[in-house]
Amino acid sequence: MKTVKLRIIVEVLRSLASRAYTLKYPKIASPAPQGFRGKLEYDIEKCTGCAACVENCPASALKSISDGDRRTIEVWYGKCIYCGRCEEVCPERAITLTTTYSLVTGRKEDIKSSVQLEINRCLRCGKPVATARQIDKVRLQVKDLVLPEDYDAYLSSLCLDCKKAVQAELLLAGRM
Amino acid sequence: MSIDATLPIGPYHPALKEPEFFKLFLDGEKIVDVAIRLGYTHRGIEYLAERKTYNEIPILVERICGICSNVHPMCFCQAVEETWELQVPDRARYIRTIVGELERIHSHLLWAGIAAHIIGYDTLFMHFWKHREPVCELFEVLTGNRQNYAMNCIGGVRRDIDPTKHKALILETLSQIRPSLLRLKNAVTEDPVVRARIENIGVLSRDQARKLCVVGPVARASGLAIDVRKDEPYAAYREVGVDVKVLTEGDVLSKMLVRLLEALESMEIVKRALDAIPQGPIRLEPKEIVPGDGIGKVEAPRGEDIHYVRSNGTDIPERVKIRAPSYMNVPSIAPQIKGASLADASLIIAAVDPCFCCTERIALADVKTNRESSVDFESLAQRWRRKSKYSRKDGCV
Amino acid sequence: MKIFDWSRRKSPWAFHLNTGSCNNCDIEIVDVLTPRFDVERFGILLQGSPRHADVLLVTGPVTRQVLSRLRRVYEQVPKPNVVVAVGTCATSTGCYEGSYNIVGPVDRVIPVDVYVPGCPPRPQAIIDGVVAALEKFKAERSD
Repeated sequence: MKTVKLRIIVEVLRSLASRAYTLKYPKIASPAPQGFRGKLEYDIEKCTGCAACVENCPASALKSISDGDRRTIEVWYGKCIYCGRCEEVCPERAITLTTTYSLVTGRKEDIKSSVQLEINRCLRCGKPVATARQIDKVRLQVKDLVLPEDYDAYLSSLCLDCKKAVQAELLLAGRM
Repeated sequence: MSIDATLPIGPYHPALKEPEFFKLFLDGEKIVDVAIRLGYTHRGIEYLAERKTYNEIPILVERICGICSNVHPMCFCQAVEETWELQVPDRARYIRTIVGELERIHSHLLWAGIAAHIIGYDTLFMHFWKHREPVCELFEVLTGNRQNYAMNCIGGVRRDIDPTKHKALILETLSQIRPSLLRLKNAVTEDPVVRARIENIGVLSRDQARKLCVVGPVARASGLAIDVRKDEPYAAYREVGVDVKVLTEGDVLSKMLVRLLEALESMEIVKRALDAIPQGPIRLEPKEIVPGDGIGKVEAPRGEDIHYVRSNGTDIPERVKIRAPSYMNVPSIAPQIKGASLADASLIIAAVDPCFCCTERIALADVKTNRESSVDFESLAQRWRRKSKYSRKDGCV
Repeated sequence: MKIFDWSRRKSPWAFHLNTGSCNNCDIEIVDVLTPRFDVERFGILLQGSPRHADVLLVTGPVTRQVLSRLRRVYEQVPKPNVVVAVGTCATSTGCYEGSYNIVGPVDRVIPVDVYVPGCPPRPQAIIDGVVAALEKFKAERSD
């Protein structure tokens, strides 16, 4: 009689002899490893409201809503594809993809999250300009330009049209 | 042979994971002919790719298919790098190789499990998928997700492989699953019941394979030694080397053996790449967008994947064309299934490892006059949107 | 009757329906049945016919070709049932928004009880989703 080597029996016996491979979730917790691309969280202290994340999201899960006095950046976790582009492009590193993976819900509108920032208004005409942090960041980056000191903070808080008008006045007055 | 019955398989069938439609024409128990109809997973990826920026497209094309999810972004990035004449750093090429080969292991084990499930051997199915789990968990640590790795970007890779933590973890995982994989391979070749189910079933001869231009393990199981990694090396394959596995019988057993041997070979390739990986940057930021066109070719677990990109100097590509390997392999189901008995139908369909979501491209053909025509995406989209509006009115809650 | 609710909760049979997804969510659903996660401990079996199912697991943004089939399958699943939309595409079409062939997320066609976002959701999240869906059986009867 031909003997048939049934290797699968060896494999089955090895599995029976070793520890059970099943993960007893949900009785025991099963956290995701470090570096897992899960639910994204904003750090409100660092966000400037520049909306770079909104521009670069492939799934359009992030929305930027500006209504005069406030800019809201909203993320809908039901649309997010957890790719990590927003984390990559944020210039302030205000976005982190945490290790939270279970976002089960009965109503998909509930899984939204947002940050809100105040928008500064133009000191000359009152039109909305940008968020305070964005203005400060730009000031830092152009600090080497020659500007009269008493006008530095004032100029940064103007809208584009008013800025042009005030700079023209300063040029004519010979102060720039 | 006369046709006395037709049997529709699909679009939803217990043996199939994706919607696809096969109409089998039967003469008693023997299959006389088959009509294949796809199109259920067409999502308009090429249309969407022409409306997204270059940085967003690797993330979009990753979601063409879940099992080949590293192949499509790598192929797209290679096509763009060829168009813009970008030189990818060496370390990035090695990391792309390592991730690609680990994906090949997980894809072949997945397929082997599904094939075992189809022949009714659920023990083997469970064991193959059990040994696939450590690879998925390894990916979760390396890339942040079990299936959609988001590793490839234009100019390199997004995450590095840490030489202290990750290298040891990769080697430990591979040494853990290798002996079991060898035992399971022998369980397939030495078990007479399994051999009776898969030997001499669904034979594709070498001439038929050449005429139909099949690619991948289906071709290599029929005696054609074609492999993009050897013929046109990309990433780090020129340095690391590949041993291409070729068998000649062309039946389901050969296809299974080719895949299992390739999975074992992939483990060796990963070890060689980990030993030889150089230090250096992992990403090169492109400086300018060069108009022109380029082609990227990658050996997916299912065969040769080709991406074509045409750039016009703006940050949105002009045309992206994708040719997935299953596009060439699915028509080869017809000669394999003719003459087979009905009980083997789903096994023969599964043996070419079809990935229908990869294959869903669109072409316009007039059935009455037998002519193909071409139309631009915008007018196609307008025509289909009108049809979709009517479908939505009928179908909505 | 309480015994029927208890039986339905303790051994829900599932039917899996792919409405045009990329297969990631489908692989994770099949993965949930394999030794690592093994939902058979909860009595969940994957069935071949919608008529045998209590839980309908739907993946994918709905494509035009699948639309009428989705409605037909939903009508064949016996009541009471729960529908679980697995994955970001089933919740909201994900990154395919704007394509000419996508007819909208699953809840534009059939009512959905539980959403499991993720791309793909981890198998542990799918288990959470099914457990949350089973709570609906209890809730449905109580009102």
